[in-house]
Amino acid sequence: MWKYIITRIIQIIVTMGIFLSLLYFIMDAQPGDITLQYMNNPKFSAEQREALKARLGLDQPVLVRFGKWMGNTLTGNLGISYIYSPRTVMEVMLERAPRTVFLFLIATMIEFFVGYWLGKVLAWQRGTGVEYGVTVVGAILYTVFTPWFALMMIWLFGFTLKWVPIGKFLDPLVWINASVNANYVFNRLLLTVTFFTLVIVAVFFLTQKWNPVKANRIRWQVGIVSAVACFVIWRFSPIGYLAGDIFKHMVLPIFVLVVINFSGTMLLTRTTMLETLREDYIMAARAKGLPERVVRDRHAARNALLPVFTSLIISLPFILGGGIITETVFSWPGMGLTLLEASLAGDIPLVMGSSMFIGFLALLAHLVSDVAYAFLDPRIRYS
Amino acid sequence: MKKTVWIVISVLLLFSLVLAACKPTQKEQTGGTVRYAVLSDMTSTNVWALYDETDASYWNYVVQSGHWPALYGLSDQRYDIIPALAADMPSDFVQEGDLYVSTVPMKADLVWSDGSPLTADDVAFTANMALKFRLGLNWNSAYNPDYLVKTEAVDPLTVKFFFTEVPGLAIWQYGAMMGPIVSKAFWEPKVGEAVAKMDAVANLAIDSDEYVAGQAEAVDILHKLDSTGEPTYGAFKLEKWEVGAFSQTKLNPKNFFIGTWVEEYANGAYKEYKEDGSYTYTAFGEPEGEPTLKYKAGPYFDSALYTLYEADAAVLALRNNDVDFILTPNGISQGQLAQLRDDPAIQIVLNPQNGFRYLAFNQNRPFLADVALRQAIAAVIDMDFVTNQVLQGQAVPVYTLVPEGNGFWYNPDVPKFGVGMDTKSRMELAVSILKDAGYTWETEPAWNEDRGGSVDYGVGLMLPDGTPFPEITLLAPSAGYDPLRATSAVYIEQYMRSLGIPVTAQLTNFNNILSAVYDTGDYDMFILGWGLSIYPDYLCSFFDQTNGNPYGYVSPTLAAKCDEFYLETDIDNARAQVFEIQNILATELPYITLFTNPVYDAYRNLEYPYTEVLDGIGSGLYGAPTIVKPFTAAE
Repeated sequence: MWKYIITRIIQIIVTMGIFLSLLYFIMDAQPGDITLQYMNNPKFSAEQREALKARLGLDQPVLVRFGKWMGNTLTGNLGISYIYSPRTVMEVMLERAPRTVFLFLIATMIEFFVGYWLGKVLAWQRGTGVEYGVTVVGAILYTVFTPWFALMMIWLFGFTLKWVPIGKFLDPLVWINASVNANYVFNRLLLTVTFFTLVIVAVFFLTQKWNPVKANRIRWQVGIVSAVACFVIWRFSPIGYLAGDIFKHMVLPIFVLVVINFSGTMLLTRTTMLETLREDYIMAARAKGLPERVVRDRHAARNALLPVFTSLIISLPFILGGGIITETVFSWPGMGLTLLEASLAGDIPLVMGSSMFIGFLALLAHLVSDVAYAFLDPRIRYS
Repeated sequence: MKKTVWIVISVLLLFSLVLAACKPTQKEQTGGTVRYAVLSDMTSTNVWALYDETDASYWNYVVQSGHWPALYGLSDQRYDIIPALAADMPSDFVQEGDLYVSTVPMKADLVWSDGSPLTADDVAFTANMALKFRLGLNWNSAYNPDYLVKTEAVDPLTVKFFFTEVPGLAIWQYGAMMGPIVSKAFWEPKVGEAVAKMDAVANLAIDSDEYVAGQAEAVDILHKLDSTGEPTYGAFKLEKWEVGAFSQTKLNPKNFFIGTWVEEYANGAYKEYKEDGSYTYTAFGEPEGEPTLKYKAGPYFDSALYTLYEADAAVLALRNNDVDFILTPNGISQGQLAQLRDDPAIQIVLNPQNGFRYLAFNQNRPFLADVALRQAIAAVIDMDFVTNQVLQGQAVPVYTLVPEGNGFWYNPDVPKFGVGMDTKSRMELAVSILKDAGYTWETEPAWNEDRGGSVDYGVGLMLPDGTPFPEITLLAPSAGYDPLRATSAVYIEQYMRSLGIPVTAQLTNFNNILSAVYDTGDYDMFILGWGLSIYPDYLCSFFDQTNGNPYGYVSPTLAAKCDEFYLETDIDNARAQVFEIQNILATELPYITLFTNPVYDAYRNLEYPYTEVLDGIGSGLYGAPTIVKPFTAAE
């Protein structure tokens, strides 16, 4: 196993090198550079442009620039963002990433569980009206034009019904007198979610060998108690009202993301469940007289989980990239919007920094999913 | 069953927790805060960066540009130069040694927002810093190191500017006199490291690599300095910036102009005064008759809130009464206007834009350097038809580089090829211009009455030297970026083809056009646009005859006139020169000016002392938070 992991890590490093080189040269091959965007200003002379190019190092050949960038990156210096100058790329990313991760992590987890649950129900009810109905609705939602759908939801729930705020990720009137900034709250919310997740995972593994019924009950109880504990801590925290405001603004984006994306997981689960249901051990479980729900949830669904879980793990790194469309429509200033702005403006350091993290996490996720296979399915062994 | 109950209970519990956490908030009524929607965030609060290239953006300026004062400003609507920090107009230039000096008297008892005195020392410090670091863009426009040598505070209320020669209007009146001023007491202790870096290279040639590197390092240090707690002067000061969400400015009660009455008169007179009689300033003659404009300067709000929205969400927020005004650099789009027109609570105002879209030629290619060719193209393009019929009145044709809205500098009598003619006459005029210049055709363009009156396109156009006219490309932004330019490019292609010019319109990415024009020079023709300043020195800078211009346009006539204009110190003489320059440009046509489009602003709950303003309230006045009042319905 260790030999496999080390080999994969070497592969990741090589792949990252190729990925970053390609990305840099593709970005650089775009016509013009960041200084062109100032040419719309009549006061920006050709001399000023040359001076700015020199200041940004854009007057040097691309190979020299790439070499410098790579050298700086290896020492942990990702450079200064052109469009957010004089802030560093790292500062911009640290500011934007928590907002994106928090929104999209929650949306991804919800859509995963909704999709997984519906998928196994659909497979079990194959051929019924429920299967056809849910599948058609899921397929429609999966293929809907996201910006249009998101704007319709804002119009319906924000403008017409006034249930949720329109756009933005917080209410200025709530935050005007706040003593902390939004990132302070986001970071603590992320810590809370991490703590909650660790508790759930720990309990899951600790109760693995227990009687399934008892283990399940304990897991639910611990989950609910942890959730209530988190809520109580936040409710009585001096910044709890700020977290509440963020949650209020997250409701609609999460709803849109879940509604649009859950069917991907649902259809994948359904397909793998249908394959699993043909296996002999399912027939054996039924022959033993086990209740249908036990056969479905314990025997079929758990074995069908493997590709679905892989899909989830591999999708997680792209959370950092956020959804450019979602973040734009909901005025959610996260990594997706930043990446879009940086790409359009030719802010190569920021594009490279963002992409490097996303690429690194994507490759890492592949490694994690490979290793996780061995844990989830004891039959799998790497040599 | 038991598990299902657990699931239901837990889901309900979590849902209720989320709902409970979402504490409802009361929507604040307008009165204390004027609420603007902005479509992009600020990027910096550092004044050195804000007026330099890196952070000189509309979105920074809507919130912050009024925070730093200038010695002089421009009057409302008429754009006359009037004193701000200055007590009166500057002295005439006198020669002191090799330098030419003007002295500016300042108002007494001015203070920054922290109560510290605002004096000539602040003016001198700011100008000398900009000169030392050779700061770019707006700093450079204000304090141009090629002309301004230094600034000295003679005493707390008197400042002297030293120039290498008597400066023209662009360098002095519309330059240094209007440059931003920062607090010396705040910044001087902070800039030590940057100054030391700059001093280390100060004696090197400014085009040497060492100087460029040292200057870049010093400027970066300057741009990164923390501005937290910086005292400012404007009627609002920055209170809070929640990155990616909103910014808030609050009233600065120490601003001198709060409560000042402003009056403008038909005879050109201008008057400012305070009701208690403590301050009166009159310029441009004695006021006579009723004022054409009269208002009392605010602010009438305690704070201004700038909330970040996506464009469509901003429109919904305005309709939903979540914001009072949508700020955009180019106004509200037609599609968004359609959603706003039906709401009686929303005011929509229309203003001319200080800008234009134009067609330009690469005159480094000899066949495009012929004035006759450009005149013929101008004659055949019917912009009245394009703007009124094709663009449905969304744009207005322009025939000179100074838009009509910039009334003082606008020359209405420039040559206009083909304007007012019908299609047949336009075609005949264009053909005759080309023929006179020696162009020939295999088949000449002709008017065809048999087809209901249309042009039979010319075929086989030959240059005066007898060679075929080469295939050329017209670059224009794609419809996604600017449908007006994309549409007009397609029509211009056909107008030119009717003359037999083998042109193809290529609608492409905006950056591709900029790169072709400013980097590679590999283009034939393109359509772009300019947003302009009030003072029209751009007429010369666009077509720089000394260092060259991206169009390869060479004009000794223009060069001579621009040399005069740059040195002109009298505004009436400058106006006459600007009129002549417009004539030259409208004749030689390095640009064929196409159209400008009106700027629409939309707001609610607000009342402005005037709404007719070049570029609109949002773009031209950044929403004017210092003069806007809460709307009060008439009794």
